[in-house]
Amino acid sequence: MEEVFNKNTLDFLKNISYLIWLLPLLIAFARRNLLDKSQKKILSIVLVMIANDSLTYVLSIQKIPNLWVYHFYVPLLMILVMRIYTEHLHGVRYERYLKYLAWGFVLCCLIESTVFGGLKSLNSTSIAIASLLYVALSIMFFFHWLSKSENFKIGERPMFWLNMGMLVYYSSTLVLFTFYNRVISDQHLFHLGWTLNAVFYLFLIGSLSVALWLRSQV
Amino acid sequence: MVEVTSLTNEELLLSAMVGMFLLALGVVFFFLAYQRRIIKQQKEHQAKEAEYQQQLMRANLLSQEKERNRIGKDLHDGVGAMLTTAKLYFRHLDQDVAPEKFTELKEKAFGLLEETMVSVRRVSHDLRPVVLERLGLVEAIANTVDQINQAGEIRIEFRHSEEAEPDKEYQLNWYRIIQELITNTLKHAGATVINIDLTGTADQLQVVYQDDGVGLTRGEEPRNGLGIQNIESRLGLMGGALEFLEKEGSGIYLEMISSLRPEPIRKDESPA
Repeated sequence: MEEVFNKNTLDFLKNISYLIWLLPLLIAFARRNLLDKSQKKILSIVLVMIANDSLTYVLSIQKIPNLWVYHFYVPLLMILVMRIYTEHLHGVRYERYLKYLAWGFVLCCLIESTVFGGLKSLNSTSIAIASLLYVALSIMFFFHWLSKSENFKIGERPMFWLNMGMLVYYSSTLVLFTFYNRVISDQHLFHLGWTLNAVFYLFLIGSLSVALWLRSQV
Repeated sequence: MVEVTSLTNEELLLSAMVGMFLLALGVVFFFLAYQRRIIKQQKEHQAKEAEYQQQLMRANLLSQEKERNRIGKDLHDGVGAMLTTAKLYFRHLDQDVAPEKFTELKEKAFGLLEETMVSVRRVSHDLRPVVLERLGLVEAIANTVDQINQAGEIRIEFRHSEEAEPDKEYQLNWYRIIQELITNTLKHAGATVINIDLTGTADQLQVVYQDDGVGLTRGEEPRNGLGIQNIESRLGLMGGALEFLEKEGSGIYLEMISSLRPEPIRKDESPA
C-alpha cells in the first residue's frame, strides 16, 4: 500500500484540493446575485474552509507551526454549520437544544485549547466530537426531510448536497480521529489516513460546489 | 512482529475509512430512494383522491339529473295532463250548455284542479318535505318510518337522542340519506328489520343504519353504487364520513357521522 499511500500522493491531493477550491469560489462569484439564503450560508462555510486551508498552507511552507489555526477554525465552522442546520431543522423535537449544543461544543474546544494540549498540538478531540455532531446533524436532517413528506426532489436542493458532503466527509474523519493516536505514531498509517481523508475532502468540495451551483427553489 | 502489527493497523484503518465512506453514501442513496418512493406514493394517492372526487361529482350530477327528470315527468304526466283536461272542460263550459251538463262539467273541472293541487303539493313535498321544514329531522324520519311500518312489509325501529338540531340544509341532507338507505334496503336487501340509531351531540350527528338483509355479495365494492356515492357526496358536503362495518351475508351495517352546521369561514381563510 506504500506505493499508493505515501507522502507524494498526499502532497499531490493536497495541492489538488487547493486548486479545486477555485471551483466553488468561481461558481459563487458567477452566481453571486442568484444565491438564496441557504446558499449564502453555505458560501460562508466555504470561505471559512478556504481561509483555513490557505492560512495553514502558507504557514506550513514558511515552516511556521500552523496547528493553532485549527483551534479557531473548528469552533467557528461549528457555529456556521449549526446556524444553517438550526434554520433547516426548524420544527424538530430538539430544535432549541441545537443552539446549546453548538455553544457547549465551543466551550469544549476552549477547554481543549487552554487546559489540554494547548495551541501547539492538534485539537483532535474537538475535531472528533465535531465530526460526530456533523454526522448526527446530517442524519437528523435527512430524517426531518423525510418526515416533512414534501413533494419535491431533494437532489435539487442545495441543502441536500451540503448534507451529503458533510455526512460522507465527516464519517471518514470521525474514523480517522478515532485512530488518531495510532495514526500519528505510524508513518504508513499517517499517509494512508490523511490521503484517504484528502480524497473525501475533494468529495466535500465537490458537494459544496454543486450546492452553490443549483438554482434556488424557493 | 512490528511489521505484522503495522500491516493490520493499515488494513483496519483503510477498511474502516472506506467502509464508513461507503456506509455514508449508502445512507444518502437510501434516503434518496426512500424519498422517491414517498413522492411516488403521494402522487398515486393524489390521483386516487382526484378520481374519487370525480366519481362523487359525477354521482352528484347524475343524481341531480335523475331528480330533474323525475320532477319533469311528474309535472308533465300528472300536473300537465290534468291541466290539459281541465282546460278542455272549461272550453265546454258555455252558457248555452244545459244546466245539468254545466254543473257536471264544472264539478269535473274543479275535481281536476283539486287533484292538480294535490299533485303539485306532492311534487313540492318531494323537493322539500313539509314535515322536515316544520318539525325537523327527527319528526321527518319518524314520519317516513311510520308510513313504511304501516304498509307492514318491513319493520323499522328508529331510536334517537339528540342535544342540538342540525342546520336546515344538513337536515335535508340527512333526510335524503336515510331515504336513500331505506329505499336501497326495500329494493335490494330482502330485509325484515331495519334499525336506525340517531345520536346527536352538541356539534356532531351520528347515524347507525343496519338491516338484516342479504348484505353485500363477496367481492362487491359498496362504494361503487350510485346511491352510496350520493350518500358519500352529501356527507362530504357536511364534512362527514361513512364506514361500512357489514359482514358478508348478514345485512348491512353503516356508521355515518357529520358536523351539525357548516364551519364559519374565518377572516383569514376568506378569498382575497
